[in-house]
Amino acid sequence: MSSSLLSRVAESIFWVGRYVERAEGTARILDVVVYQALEQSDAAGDSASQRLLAVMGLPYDDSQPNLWQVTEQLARDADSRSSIAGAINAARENTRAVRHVIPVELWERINATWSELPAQWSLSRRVGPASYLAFVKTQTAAITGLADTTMSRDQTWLFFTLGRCLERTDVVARQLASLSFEEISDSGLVMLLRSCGGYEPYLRLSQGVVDPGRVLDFLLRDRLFPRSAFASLTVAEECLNQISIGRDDEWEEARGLIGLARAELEYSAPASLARGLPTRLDRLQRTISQVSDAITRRYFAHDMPTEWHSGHAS
Amino acid sequence: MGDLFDGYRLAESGPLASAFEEVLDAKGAARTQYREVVSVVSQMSSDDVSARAGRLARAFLDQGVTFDLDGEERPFPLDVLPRVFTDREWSTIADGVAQRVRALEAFLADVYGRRRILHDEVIPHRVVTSSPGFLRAVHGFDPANGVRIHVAGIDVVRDEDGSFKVLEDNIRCPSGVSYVLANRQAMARVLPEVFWGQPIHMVADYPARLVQALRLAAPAGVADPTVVVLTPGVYNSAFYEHALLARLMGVHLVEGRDLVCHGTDVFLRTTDGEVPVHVIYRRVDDEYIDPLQFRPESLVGCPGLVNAARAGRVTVANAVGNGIADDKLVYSYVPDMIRYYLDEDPVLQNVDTFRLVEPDALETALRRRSELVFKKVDGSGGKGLVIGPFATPSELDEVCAQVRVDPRGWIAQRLVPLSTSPTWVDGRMVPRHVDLRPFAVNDGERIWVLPGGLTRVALQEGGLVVNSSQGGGSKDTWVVGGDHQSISAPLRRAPQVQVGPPMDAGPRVDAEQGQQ
Repeated sequence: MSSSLLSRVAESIFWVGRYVERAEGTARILDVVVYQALEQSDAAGDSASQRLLAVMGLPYDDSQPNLWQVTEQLARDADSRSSIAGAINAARENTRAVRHVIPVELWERINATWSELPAQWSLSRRVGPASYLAFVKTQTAAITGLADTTMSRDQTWLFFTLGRCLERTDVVARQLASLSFEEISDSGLVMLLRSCGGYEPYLRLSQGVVDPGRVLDFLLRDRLFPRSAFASLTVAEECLNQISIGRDDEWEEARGLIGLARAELEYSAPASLARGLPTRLDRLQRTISQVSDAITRRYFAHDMPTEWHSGHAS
Repeated sequence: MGDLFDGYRLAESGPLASAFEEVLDAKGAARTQYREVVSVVSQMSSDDVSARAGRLARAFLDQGVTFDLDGEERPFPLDVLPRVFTDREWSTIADGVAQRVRALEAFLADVYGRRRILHDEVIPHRVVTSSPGFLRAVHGFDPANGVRIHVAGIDVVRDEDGSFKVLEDNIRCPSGVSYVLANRQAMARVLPEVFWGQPIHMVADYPARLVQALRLAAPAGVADPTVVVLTPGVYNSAFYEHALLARLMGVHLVEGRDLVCHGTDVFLRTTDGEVPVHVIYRRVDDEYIDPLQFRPESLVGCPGLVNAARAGRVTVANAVGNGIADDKLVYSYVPDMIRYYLDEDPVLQNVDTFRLVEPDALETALRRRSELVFKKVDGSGGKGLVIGPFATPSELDEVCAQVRVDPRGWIAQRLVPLSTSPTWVDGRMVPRHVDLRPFAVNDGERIWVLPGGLTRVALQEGGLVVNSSQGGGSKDTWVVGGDHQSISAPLRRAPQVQVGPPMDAGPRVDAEQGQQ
């Protein structure tokens, strides 16, 4: 067996990486936003539900969805690719198709997570979503941990990691884009940092000072925090460099887009980050989609199964 | 009202029968601020409540919110029913606590300075000079922003008619705030439905307030101070709290051996070499903090620290020497301090206290021994406490003999039957006595009182001692209603929300197709 991968397999692996990361990211966001809203007051609950939907790119109407319904939608809706259950479903479907190329432990972990999910949700219906979200966070950590410790750094792992890093950048960009940095409160910043899993690393860096400019710099540009946009893009770029077999236009396009986005963050003055932030974040999110497209065209291109019609022209 | 509260009976006789009941009024109906909570909880089955109680315990075990009992790690018991204060009740407590802290700050500055209050004979000289907490070594200290009490924990109880009384002041190293944070988090995760729709003041910003106050206390001229938490080490019973605060403030948690003094500067030993330290939030007691000044055998302090603080090169928070105000005989003068320094009437009264150094008071107290509580002036954690009505005659004789030998070492107080609150014990709601420790943070500009505080519960039937070492538990403590957003974090109006683009989705994998 050579080191190259079937396109179809590579594509599935790439999406397993994205979906697992999405499930984890969504669980983190929900865990923070729901409980912060709960611990604060009812009034905060409405804006929390709006924000949750906005982060996930789901429209909301003026009927002011209640926080529980939104939580259920984002945690449990199996048909939506934006929900935890949807992402786990999709990750499992994709893994199942390619289970022969990934370690059996990894497949079993993903499969077990998927099959346990409904039971975890019914438990959560009685005692609140915390146990469900904790389950998802633990399982996704186990999945990515197994990938990191049991997979060769071959193309399988590279596509998995590439998918994870792109998704991670997207999640950070979405979270930042849903907030207005000019009028954000301290507790809003804390919530943002916590839902990116970066509250404590940030505090140690800043000695406890929560400042919008520094938070923005940390989440977009920090070199050491693995969920910052810069750190994720750097890993994605490395993966792409190693995947390259024959550098052609699509590869150059994908790598160029990632490299440009990374360089733009890397060489921006921290003070200028806040200027034109919405445009910048919008561009970042678009970049992720375009990179994903270019990778799909370059590596995953395969024809749809040809459908042979029986019968004959008369 | 549901079944859970049906069998709820208060004690009908004995010295505690007059205790104020916090949740239910005389007719057995829930007080206004408790209506929502009681109606949600009473709809639950007793099995469900027990299951939730089990989950609370499990959450604390997982987080390591435990205390050591005979070598076994036990979760600090957290009750399923929160304690709820209305905004109005709370503002009395908060005003009273802040007033007390202001008066105590003035007292400490005075007693380690010009001693006006002693010259004016509001407090006798000998009360101060005979106190073990009075440290001459810190005479003339001038703290950076004038603050000596960066954090205060003032213990408040509720007497028979429901009014709040101060039981004692803790302005050395008050502990327990980590339970306030952990309780709220665990409750929201295990019993989310009781929170729903309640305007509860938030407690989570305590570490941010504390680190801000500590930074403001830095020596003059230090723009970006290095703050550390000084702990005696992992074997200290409050180590969990030290670690939690350091983590949530983003600062180093240090032990004495991590610090070094060169001249009057204090440094931290790090992988980058020695780094200057400016503010030390210490959780090590005065007598152990500097072997050059106090106990020479102490291994948990930092030699030279007191000199560095005297030179104004480092801020020790809370200040060294605050123990004078925790002396329970000095406590009895706090209302006088409030009038003397602030020219105000005390918002919160003390519990009636007998100063046993006064011969008349001594005789009266000894005569009424069987109805009073005797406490050591420097006792804490319920140590050396003798509660008259519950003590055996021989215990009472023994304490009276000790008091006669050393009247300065003791005070006597009226027995306050602490208020009761329904508490889940062995599958039933039963009345248990509670107290309250509100926490105040003084940043030099204003004194902020954490809206909530720690409610401790004496889990033994008829027990009055709430310390965890003696079978105490706690309750999540809420302040509800009012314009709480101005009191807690500056949560401004909900920001405009921008809907993001829909998420990318991969191709559908029709996994059924072509299998088997």
